[in-house]
Amino acid sequence: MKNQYRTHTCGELNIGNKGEEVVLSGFVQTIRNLGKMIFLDLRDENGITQIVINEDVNLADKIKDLTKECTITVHGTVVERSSKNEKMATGEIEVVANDLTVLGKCKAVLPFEINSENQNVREDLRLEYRFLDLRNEKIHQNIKLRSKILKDFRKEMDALGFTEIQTPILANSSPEGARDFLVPSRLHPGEFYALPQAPQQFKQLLMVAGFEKYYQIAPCFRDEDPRADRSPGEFYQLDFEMSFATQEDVFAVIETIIPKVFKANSHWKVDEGPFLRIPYKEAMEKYGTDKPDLRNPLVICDLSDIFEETEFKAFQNKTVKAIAVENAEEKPRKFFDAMSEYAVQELDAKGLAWVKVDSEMNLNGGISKFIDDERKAKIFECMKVSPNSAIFFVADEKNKATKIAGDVRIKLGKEFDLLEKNVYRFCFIVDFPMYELSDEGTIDFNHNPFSMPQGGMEALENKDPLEIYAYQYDLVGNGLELASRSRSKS
Amino acid sequence: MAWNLPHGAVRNHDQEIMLKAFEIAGYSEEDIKKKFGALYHAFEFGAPPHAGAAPGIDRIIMLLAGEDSIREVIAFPKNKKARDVMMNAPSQVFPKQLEEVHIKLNLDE
Repeated sequence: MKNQYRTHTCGELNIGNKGEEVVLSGFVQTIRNLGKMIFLDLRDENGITQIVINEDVNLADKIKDLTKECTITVHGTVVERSSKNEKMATGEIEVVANDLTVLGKCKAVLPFEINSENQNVREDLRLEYRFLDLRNEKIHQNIKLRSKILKDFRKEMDALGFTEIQTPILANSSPEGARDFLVPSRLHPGEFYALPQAPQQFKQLLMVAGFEKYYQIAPCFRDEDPRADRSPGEFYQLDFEMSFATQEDVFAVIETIIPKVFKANSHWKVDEGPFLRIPYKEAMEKYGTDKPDLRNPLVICDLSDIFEETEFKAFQNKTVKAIAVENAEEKPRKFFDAMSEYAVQELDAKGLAWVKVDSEMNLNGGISKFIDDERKAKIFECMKVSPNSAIFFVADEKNKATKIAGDVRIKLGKEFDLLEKNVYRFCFIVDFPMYELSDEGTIDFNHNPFSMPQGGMEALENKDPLEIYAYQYDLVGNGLELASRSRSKS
Repeated sequence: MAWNLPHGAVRNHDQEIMLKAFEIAGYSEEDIKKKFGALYHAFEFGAPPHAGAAPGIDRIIMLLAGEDSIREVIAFPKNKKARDVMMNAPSQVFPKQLEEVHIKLNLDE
């Protein structure tokens, strides 16, 4: 776009433009006054160009109040730099100014430096001045990346023949999910709209309406307490629904679009479809979570049977979960103490038992005296244990032991730096139970009451409800739940 | 009734199976009609079997941007206390606005 403000962007001039008369506009990132000449770094969204203002050019009036982060237009000539900066795209040239206009003066004191090395700015200050914060390169690029990813998703959904349909923002209240954001009605006293927690019912009604492939990048609103991986209040999902389709058809869509969009926006390795399908029960047993990070090679093993009649009190009548870690034998005592401390303090565990396994596969330290040869043989049969390793044990009531073991697995993965690097690992968690026992001991829906029970009417009529699975699934990427959002009940 | 909302799922589009599924969880047809009237009613008119999912865009962008905080991939996020400290939201409104929507405040002192 060429106009009165610019002939070029601040990111495109190079030695090939030497001698050209150019007009650039942007933000003043730095000002270095050397007396005889002033150097400016001029920044726009495309890059940075160095501007030189020589003393003999009569711009003194115009630049006397110039401060960082003003917006200016510069007219000047492209010249070759005497000392080149190879790190910059425009590092071979600079623009010698013959005119300069201040477009927008930065009158106020900046609450923080833009693009400074010191990124230790209080988050609320960044958010209060978000319009300035967004000038910072890193977050600016995040927002550009967001735009690119949304475009890519639309492109892929379009290629698969989906129709983008918008559903209401002023919707009806459905308090059985999370808490609604309510919007009072002026025209209908005492009545309320609610912002949609998801377009769930609308998209199903679109199926009834004969739209066979619907999608939208849907804003969703839930009045829930903030958490690190959640944006409080509102978030977006790539909402889609298909008629005359099975679970595998939905997986095929995800397995098409996710690898494409991830590869287009990252240099990391990306799992290709078909993604691993892990039944919910297996995920809880092996990883202690329904959001397993498959970059972590550690697997949890249930040893409850082996310790059923143990004389070790902490294990008696408990679910015992174990994780073996290679190259752990050399770790000092204080590492094992710190792990126990972590489990007790952070995970509310009663303790974290351990044994070391030496090069001859003998058990040492920790609770080794409670593990006789017979139990040892059974443990080695049950789980993969290497020489020079350690085994960690969690013992508790079943659900708690599962959860603690899951968190210990994550912690050990970090401590031993076991996570596969530069890779996106995806899996589907499948076969969620249709029902669960509520705290009061009654049978309630486990998740979405509108999921089809596996086995249909036959299963509902003849099976123990707690044994019925639903055709329900989550997509998990690197340990983050992606295909649905909230599992916690309000 | 408290459930989580949308997961990827094959939906139950068959009224008979839906009734039975709700019955097991202790809900009557009246409960369904009250809560999900439109959808339940629509299923009386020849609903096709259907399935879907809803990948979370914010988390996908977090993964791709390599950020640990979701606020780093949203242009104008709320802060940790769910406030927009730039625009000042939520905020009080004029009494007239409340009047128009027939609302009286009942705040604890």
